[in-house]
Amino acid sequence: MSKKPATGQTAINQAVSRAARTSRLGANPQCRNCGWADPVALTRGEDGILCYECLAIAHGRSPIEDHHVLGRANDPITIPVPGNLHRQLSDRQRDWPRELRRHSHRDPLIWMATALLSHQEMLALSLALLDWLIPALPTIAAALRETYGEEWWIALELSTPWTSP
Amino acid sequence: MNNLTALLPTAVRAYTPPSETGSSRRFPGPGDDAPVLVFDTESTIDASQHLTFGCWRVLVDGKMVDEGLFYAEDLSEPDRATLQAYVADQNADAQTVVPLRLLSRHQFLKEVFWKIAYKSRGLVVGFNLPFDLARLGTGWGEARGNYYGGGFSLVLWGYEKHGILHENRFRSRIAIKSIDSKRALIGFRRRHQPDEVDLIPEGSLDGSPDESYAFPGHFVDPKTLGFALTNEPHSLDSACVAFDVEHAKFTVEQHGVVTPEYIDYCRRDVLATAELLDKLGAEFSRHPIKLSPKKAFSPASIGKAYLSAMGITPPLQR
Repeated sequence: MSKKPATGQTAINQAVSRAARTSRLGANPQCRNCGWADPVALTRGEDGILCYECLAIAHGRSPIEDHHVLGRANDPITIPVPGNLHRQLSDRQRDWPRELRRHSHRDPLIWMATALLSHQEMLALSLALLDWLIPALPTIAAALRETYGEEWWIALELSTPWTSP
Repeated sequence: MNNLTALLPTAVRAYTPPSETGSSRRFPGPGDDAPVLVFDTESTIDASQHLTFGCWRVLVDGKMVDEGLFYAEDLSEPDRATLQAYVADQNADAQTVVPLRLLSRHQFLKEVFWKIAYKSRGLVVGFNLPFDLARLGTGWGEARGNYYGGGFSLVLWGYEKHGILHENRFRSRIAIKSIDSKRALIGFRRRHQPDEVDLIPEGSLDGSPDESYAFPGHFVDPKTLGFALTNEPHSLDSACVAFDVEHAKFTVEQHGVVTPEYIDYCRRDVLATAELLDKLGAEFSRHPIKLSPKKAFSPASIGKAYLSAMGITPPLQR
């Protein structure tokens, strides 16, 4: 699923943020601990580049944060998300149309549009993860077969997707 | 040795076949996704050649993400109304993917030009760029220094206080030094209190700011690049023909009067310039040389880059 590319002033503002990040981080930056590569959640410190989650752990903070699903200015609802994902989601929120970013009069249709947009962006990020997960599953299955036998799910006392309610 | 087998001096001339691969993305910038701002201005047809309006488009990864018109703050009300009606008409078209925007010169400089040219370190492109940059200026001075000395230092950003326009020294001036009718040196000058990120030199590996660094900008005039590649002085029209640009320049009955046809003409110029840039970039990329296209001022620049690529040291450096 591809997000509609930004246009107009939003596209220009995105270019500014991207250029600032590229200047600070250099080309093809990655977290030196975990390899996270989205510059949105990367920071350059004295010892190199770290992602937000690794930095939080290094400073003794939790890597999980509360994300304002509908935007901080619109609604107090939060959900716990990993710090790097929080950076990605908040970065996308900054590109929302102004009408959706700040609707203090709380029009129910605008509120619903904001909720749907937020949901759409989470789905887009989740779908991107599937690009990694789908080819990884057969590899993981092969490793489990080697350790626990052909019917590893029985050995591990797991139910199967087709028998689960 | 008899007369029939006398030795004769011979010479062999060789050439290298040109590379078939070409890309327009060899232009300098912070990365492959650096934005490109292509713009053009129209002016009055009197001696002052004062700005009336202009057109811009912004491209990212070769795709247009923004397009608009800008007008001089002192443009007459009827002319401004013509621009407004044109924009409304264009945006009413259901096929419009990127809405056309209408900004004042000041808004354009603040929201588009500054953000693309300086903050994003993007490429600024215009056919006969010094003329168009000068239309945007509100003042000028004499440029100083070895590189731009003897040229102009344009003031683009200002603010009004008590009815008087003052220069905004927190925005860079642009220096322009003409070499001849086809070539000019163009660059940003140092500004007051640049942000920390603006002090990070391009290509920096560690991202550390350098107090002595001033971002010079990436200005490319297709007129200059076209000359460097062909050794021919080109107009936009002739360059479009020479490089087989798909959407060539329009002609217009009357210059200097703001009409929908004249706005179409200006937009077409910007489109033609953007396409010409692509063609020039593709042509330039076929040269296996380490030369930035913004520094290709003449065929000699390209020739020198070839000598350098062959490892030949210039005589004065031997």
